[in-house]
Amino acid sequence: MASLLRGRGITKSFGGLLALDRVDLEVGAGEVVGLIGQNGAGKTTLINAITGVHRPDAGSITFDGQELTRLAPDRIARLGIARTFQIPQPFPTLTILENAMVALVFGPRASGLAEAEARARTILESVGLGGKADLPPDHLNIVELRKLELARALASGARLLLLDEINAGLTAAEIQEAIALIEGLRRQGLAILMVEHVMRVILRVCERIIVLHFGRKIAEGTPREIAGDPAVITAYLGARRAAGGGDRAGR
Amino acid sequence: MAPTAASRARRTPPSLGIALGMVAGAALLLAVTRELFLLQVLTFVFIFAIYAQSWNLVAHSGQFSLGHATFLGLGGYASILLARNLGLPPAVSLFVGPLLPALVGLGIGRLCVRLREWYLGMVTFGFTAITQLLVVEQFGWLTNRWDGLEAPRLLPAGLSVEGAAVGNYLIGLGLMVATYLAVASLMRSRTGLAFATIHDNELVAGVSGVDVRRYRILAMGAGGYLAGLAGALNGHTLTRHISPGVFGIEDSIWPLLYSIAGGLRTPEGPILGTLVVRLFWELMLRRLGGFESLITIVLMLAVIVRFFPQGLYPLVLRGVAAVGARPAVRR
Repeated sequence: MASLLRGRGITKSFGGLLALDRVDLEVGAGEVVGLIGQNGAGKTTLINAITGVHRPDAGSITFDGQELTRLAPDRIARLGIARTFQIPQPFPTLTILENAMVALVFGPRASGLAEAEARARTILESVGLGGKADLPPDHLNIVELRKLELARALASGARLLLLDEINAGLTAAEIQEAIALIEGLRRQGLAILMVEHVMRVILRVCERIIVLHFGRKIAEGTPREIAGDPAVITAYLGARRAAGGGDRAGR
Repeated sequence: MAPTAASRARRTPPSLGIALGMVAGAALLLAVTRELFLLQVLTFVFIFAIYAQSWNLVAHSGQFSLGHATFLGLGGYASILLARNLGLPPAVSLFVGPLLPALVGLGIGRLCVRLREWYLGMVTFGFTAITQLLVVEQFGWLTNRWDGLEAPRLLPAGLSVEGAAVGNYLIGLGLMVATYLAVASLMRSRTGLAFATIHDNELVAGVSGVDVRRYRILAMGAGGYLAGLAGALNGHTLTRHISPGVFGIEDSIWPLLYSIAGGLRTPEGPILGTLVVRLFWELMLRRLGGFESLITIVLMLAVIVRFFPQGLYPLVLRGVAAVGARPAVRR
């Protein structure tokens, strides 16, 4: 599979803390890759490095052959990379509709306002927020806010989605919905890199999993390989088992 | 709750109706009275509503300026010097002069592109002091230092006192309404949407594809032009003179008071706020003397912010809606 996103030796430190230590990663077109690791393992930092929020100290990140590490976040977004935030971050003084329009207007599609409005309404309908389109986002609960995050990322027309824990705090039924949605996106040919603590989701939808541990990639492989990897069991699953977390690690 | 004021500003289309209403109201007043003091106060309101509009536009992009007097003063000086030294008709220099503060705005915007909130406020505040120093010292040969310059009048010579007052009133009104329409359509445009996202969250705006740098700089440039236009208009009509006093602190604070009182981040707010605060000041407080009345104004603002945090404009909208709804309720 041709690789869409390719990272080589991505390194980032904050003060004395090495948050990312020579991480390599690859996401192919239409591939769903999971990114797991304990809190502080560097998952969100990696997403921030890809989206230009943090500039890596060393290493290279290319998207479709283009180097990203020197680009501003908006340029990277317009190349076709969209992300959600772990804590939903809507624009509070815009309506929900306008929130969904922003990525359409300024993202890779660069739609006009009227076209963006029509499209955003359709997308909000599809995630079940159609009835609240003209309200400000403080009318949404946490699940709806996550849906809005997702709607915004979907609206952009990106080819690569970076999903940062979109399932945290969802009920079993809602997680089922999210799994169906992600599988639908994959069928449309989107590439997805997802940070996820809900192992059920990871094992179900990801073709490949990357495990970070204190900023370093300690394993990479299919869900089956990862579940059986001794280094992973020691560093991640095992630690949870030892702590009495059972086999539903990370929940 | 209704959509927020800022988002409503981008979607409701009737700015043309509101503009016609303002023109009709102002014309009606002219038909009823030619009271010179009132005409002058209202001319002042028109001009400073343009100034407040400029501050509010910059605020709409999330940038908090405490140095707007820089733009006001530079617009006045540039236009007056163009008219005096190069012989440009004031009707032309009025629009060319503000290009100087627009450029300075682009420069300040570029320089401060990573600063926010009070940090940005302090730096813009500092620029006013620097500009005043430059105007008085480095360019003293051109600006006549502290004594300042006489400004050529915008209206033809030989008008009666009343004719000149009416003329200034109409020019102020026309430019205020034109500015209002321009800002209202800008706020509803793609650019306005970009400004609002930057106001709300620069990080998310950036990863959504909004070129934060570019739009922030653009907002400062546009704000510089409009504030400069107000400064030039004021010089050529009301004060007919400009001096370095224009770079004072008060002139940086006033547009902030007007905008907050009227309703931040709506194109109507700065006009309403300038009208209410200024009429209150001129008709009631000026007689108290400067210092106490300034305290009263700030107290008034505190009351507005406490009880109507979105300013007076949403209150007016609600009033209009209530009046409009009443006949239907009775039936």
